[in-house]
Amino acid sequence: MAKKAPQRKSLKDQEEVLKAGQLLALGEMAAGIAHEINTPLNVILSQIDLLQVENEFPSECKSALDKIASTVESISSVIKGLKTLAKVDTNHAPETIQLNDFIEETTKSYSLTMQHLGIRLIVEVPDGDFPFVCHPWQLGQVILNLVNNAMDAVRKLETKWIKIELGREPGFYVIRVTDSGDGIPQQHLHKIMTPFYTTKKTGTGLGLSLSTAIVRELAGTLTVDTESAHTRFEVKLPVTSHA
Amino acid sequence: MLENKNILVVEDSEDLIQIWKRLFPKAGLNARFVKTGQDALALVAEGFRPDLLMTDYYLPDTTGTELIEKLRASNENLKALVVTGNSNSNFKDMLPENTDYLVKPVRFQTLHEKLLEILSP
Repeated sequence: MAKKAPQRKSLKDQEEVLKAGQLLALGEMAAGIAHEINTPLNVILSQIDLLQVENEFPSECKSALDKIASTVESISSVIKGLKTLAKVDTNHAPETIQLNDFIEETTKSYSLTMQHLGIRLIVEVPDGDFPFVCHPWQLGQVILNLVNNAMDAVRKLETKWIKIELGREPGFYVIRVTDSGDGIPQQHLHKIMTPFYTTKKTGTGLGLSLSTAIVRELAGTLTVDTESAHTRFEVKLPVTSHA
Repeated sequence: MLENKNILVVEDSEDLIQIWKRLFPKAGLNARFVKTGQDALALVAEGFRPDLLMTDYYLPDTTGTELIEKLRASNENLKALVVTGNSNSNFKDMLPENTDYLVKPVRFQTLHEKLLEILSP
């Protein structure tokens, strides 16, 4: 089993990450547009279907309705095309990583910064087999976003710690990033995954929405655990048979 | 053939619900319509027993996957169709087993054919 840690050694690699990040932003936007527009398009198509079922139209009206329907389908195709264009493809095949090793390697890069900020970093990953197929830098970006958010959140707290855990549930690997904060205020909860929404003075508001897009592309989910006493984000990734 | 089959439709677009409420009976489909996962669970708790759940994926209070799993816990033979406005190449992996899906926008004829296919014994 190949074990690969994220590698960002050369400038070319960094440019590739940057470019892929931009593509992801475009993909996220296209996915958002698709989600918001396809249902209204469905309303138009269904309304046409209803008109045609309930009424007898002269042929010119019928052909006009057919034209409206085909135009709606063209609009939908444009959006699908944009998503395909923005689909992350680094020209590399995905790799099989071991999630436990990957998390340990990724979090190592934060340990000095955290030490400097007085934040206690707790990494709890079990030994064993946790194979997962992905582009490692993509998953690295998700973990980076979650840990960066946690660091910003606890920076000014009296008790500062961040805990990263890996576990299993039936059919899923679960990565939990918990910090010593008291949770996300209710009024922000439904907005934090929205592109460009931020509570930080210097934030872009793209971190969580991009992370959500990446995790969804990996057939997983990224959620806030509202039951937790502390602020906790949970990434679930499917255990796939081909891993 | 399908008059005795119950379909539970969960869709948060009021416009779409209003249109489907008129189209489904015309196609001989017996359906109840709700807008959230909670409403769907409440309807089932009241005694409505669907043969098929047709649901949007991203609902205001849950996902299609969670809703299917919750309803199948008490009705393991429940058939399911997810009609989503957004899908990706791995979308099938996000769904429980034995779950079909269509991507919006979808013509009613396509939807009708898919429902017939799923409900056919």
